[in-house]
Amino acid sequence: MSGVTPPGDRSPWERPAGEATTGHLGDRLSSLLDNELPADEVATARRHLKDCETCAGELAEIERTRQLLRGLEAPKPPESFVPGLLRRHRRVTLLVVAASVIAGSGAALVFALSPPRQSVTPPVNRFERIHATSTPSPDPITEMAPVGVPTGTSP
Amino acid sequence: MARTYGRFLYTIAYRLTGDPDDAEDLVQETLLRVRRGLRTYRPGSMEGWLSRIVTNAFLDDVRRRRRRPVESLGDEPEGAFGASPGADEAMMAEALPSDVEQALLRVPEEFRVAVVLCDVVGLSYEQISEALEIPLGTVRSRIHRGRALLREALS
Repeated sequence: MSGVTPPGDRSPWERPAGEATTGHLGDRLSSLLDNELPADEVATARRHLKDCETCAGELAEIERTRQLLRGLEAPKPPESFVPGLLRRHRRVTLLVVAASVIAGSGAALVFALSPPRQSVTPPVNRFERIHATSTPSPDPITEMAPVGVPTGTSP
Repeated sequence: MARTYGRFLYTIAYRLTGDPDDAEDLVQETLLRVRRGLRTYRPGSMEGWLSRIVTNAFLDDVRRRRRRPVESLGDEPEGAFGASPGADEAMMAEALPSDVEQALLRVPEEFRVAVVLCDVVGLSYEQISEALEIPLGTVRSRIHRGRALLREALS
């Protein structure tokens, strides 16, 4: 495949960590920029940068490169992308949301994802008619909780 | 939420693949894996977990394609970025977003993934280490080299 040359000994700043042979900071430069350098190495690295033009120059170049990358705007997905995802992966997205809620990130947003719910209007009039003509059960307990009628709760 | 994560995944997928169709395919594959792997989710960073899945799906695809050399990776021709650049600094200063996007695609995938997770997604080195299942030292090295290679591709 094409592409830039795989990493090799092209310049000090492309060499791996340690840099014991050159004394240069190498990949510690990126770690320093990213605030990922162990605290006990930061002061040493900064002292080195004051005296080493090579590393100072490389640091500036990395920073510019990093800025270019971070400055990229997020690509805009096609119009149909997100609605399509929701249709095809509704269950997955719901699960992801559930998991993220468990993780404590965005509990309120679960409502935003919930599929629109149809409002339900109980046919009260019909129930009244049925019960008005039904034969009262001799057993008041059965009448209150007929066998086979799901109650929606279970112990 | 789904919208947010859909776009989140699309941004990573687009930066890794550089192609809208490939990015959509990668997101679809990611969501299938999310569905299969939801049981492995542990409360923590949802972004980190999704990043891990999308980058693994990407790298698996890269490896699969490498095993089938007949099928081209669809690389752009050599020299697509200008064979005779001017001074590095001038190039960097004038780099257009599209130049940066194209240059990123010339960075070998293993390094590209580390740089994207760091500079596009904003994960910490530790999160990247977990996502890619590589030691922290390797993360440092790949991020630094990835940036170096990006700079080289831009110059």
